[in-house]
Amino acid sequence: MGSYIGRRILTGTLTIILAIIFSFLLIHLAPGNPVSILSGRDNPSPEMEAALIAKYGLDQSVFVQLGSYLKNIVQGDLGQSISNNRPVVEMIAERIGPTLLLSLTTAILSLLIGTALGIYCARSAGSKLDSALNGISYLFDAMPGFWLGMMLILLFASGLKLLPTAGMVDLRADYTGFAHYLDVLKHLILPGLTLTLISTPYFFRIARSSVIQVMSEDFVNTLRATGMKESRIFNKYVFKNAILPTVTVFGITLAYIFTGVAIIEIVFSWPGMGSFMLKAISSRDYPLLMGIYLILSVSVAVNMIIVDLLYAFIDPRIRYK
Amino acid sequence: MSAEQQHAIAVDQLIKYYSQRKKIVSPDGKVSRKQQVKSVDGVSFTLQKGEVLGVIGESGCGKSTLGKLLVRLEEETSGSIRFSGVPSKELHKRSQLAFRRTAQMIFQNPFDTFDPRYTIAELLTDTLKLHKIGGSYDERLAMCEQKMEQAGLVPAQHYLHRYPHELSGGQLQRISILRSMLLSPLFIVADEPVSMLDVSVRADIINMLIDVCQKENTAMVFISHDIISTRYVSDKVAVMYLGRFVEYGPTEEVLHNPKHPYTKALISNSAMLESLEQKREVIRIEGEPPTPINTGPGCYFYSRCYQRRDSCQSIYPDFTDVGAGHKVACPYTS
Repeated sequence: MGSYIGRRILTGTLTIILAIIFSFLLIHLAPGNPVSILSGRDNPSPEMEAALIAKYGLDQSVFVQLGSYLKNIVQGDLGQSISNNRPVVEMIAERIGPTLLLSLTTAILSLLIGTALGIYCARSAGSKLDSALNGISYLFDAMPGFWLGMMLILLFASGLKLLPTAGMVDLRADYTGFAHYLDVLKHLILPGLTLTLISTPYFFRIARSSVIQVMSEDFVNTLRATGMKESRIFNKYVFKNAILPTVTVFGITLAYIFTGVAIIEIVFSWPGMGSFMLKAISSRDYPLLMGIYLILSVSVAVNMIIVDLLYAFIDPRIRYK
Repeated sequence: MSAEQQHAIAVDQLIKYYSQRKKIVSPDGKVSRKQQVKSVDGVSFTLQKGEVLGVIGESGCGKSTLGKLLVRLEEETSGSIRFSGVPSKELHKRSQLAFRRTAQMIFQNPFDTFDPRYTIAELLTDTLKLHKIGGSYDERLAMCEQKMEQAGLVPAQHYLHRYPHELSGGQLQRISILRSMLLSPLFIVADEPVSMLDVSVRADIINMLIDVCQKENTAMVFISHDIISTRYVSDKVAVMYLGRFVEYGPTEEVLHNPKHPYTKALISNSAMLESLEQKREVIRIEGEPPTPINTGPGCYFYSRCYQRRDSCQSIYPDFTDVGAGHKVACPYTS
């Protein structure tokens, strides 16, 4: 088990390093002269060009540049944003909080609701409630998130005027303390509801189908043949087997926690990473983009490690490989 | 009554129909909504303590459903099963655990018999704990260890603390047999216990099965599509076709002297039985078995039978006793 954890962490770290190097080289492969991007002109003056080349070390070889980039990352310096002229780290730090709040809340809510409903429906498969929830799950799964978000805005914000249409805080009021949290919560409801509605069906269907599948396995019959009660069979044996796919899907959901909600963030003007990333792309702010990619790849890799370790904990067959 | 009580198990007219809901427009315009799949259709037999009945038949004939009915993993539609004279339904109602100590089952696929998340020791001791046998975990573990070593799984420690995926099919099936015998049942069903195993270990497993059954004097229903192993294990044999026994009797009598055209066809196609005296011609039967849905009034085997006569179409034949407890559901046996 110990060596398994060690190996997994080692390969995960390697993945992160490779991802950084790859994204660095990818940007270098991109067409266009960095000087013209940096200066913002097609034909910069020779003095300006020389100054920029000297400032950013562009006359060095790619490997020297890569080396200094890696060195800076280790020191926590992700460079300077071109469009805002502020440190990338600082800008990302500002945006990470709101995204985490939105995506973590909805990920956990849809995990809990979807899995609980899925298990319940699997155990009464074929019932009216089961068919109804199944139909509803397809409906929400097929619904585009941005459209649902706009409809909810139309209904609850524009129509009923119950909730704010956009943003994370009320800009006209200056709440502090508890009132501030309440204000954020009020703004969180609509985007949160949208995301929860469209991602719950995944968890629902995965839990439902894997419980049904495990319930039909022979070992469940063996347990029945020993005289065990259905509730005990489920709690002690079936659940442990059926939960693995849910762990996988939750892991994948968490991996995209920083950028996966971009569209919804835009619909609700949520000040998070997703909308920030799209802005960075459209303004060709490469240092900022690379910073975001870095965060993204690290979070994917770290999540994969966590999921793999969880697997080993749940499933002994993986542990000994 | 006293004769009945001697029987470890007595099955009378056991029936299991599954209903299907389907809309079907028949040629005369009628809509029938409910269909019945006759999976087990009136099976009767009795077994003394320690006796073995082999049930043979092709896939889909209802063998496995019969097995599950006998240990109440399926609920029968009608008919009765009695263990030592007590109806199994009543026994099960009174105490599910007591019933499980009476009737047990060995499953076909040893790889699927055990929950992959637990070690053998955890799985076996959990069964004992459920039945309140043994005072502590250590005591229960010792009991399992002892049983395993008696059954030739030596050293038991080597097997107990492993997960199911770390053991071979043969080892798992031995443990599966042990598991079913852990509660010393009166009766067990072995549903094709060796069909998933490598040929080289089959004989071993079958011998172990016979051994433990003899030791505990357990009656067994041995379900198989392999005539050779069934012959080796069984005292009696029943040939099943589309939910019914078509021939039933002492093993050697039935296999040497088959009367039903279906049994004859099965045996003639079993290459290794050529050592049974005279050379037989191979009887070919063609086509698939008819569906068990809405069977007509006549003999189910009619469509494939090479001896059929017109009268077979009108009524399903009763059993005729051809002597020594050998019964055949075909009137044209001579």
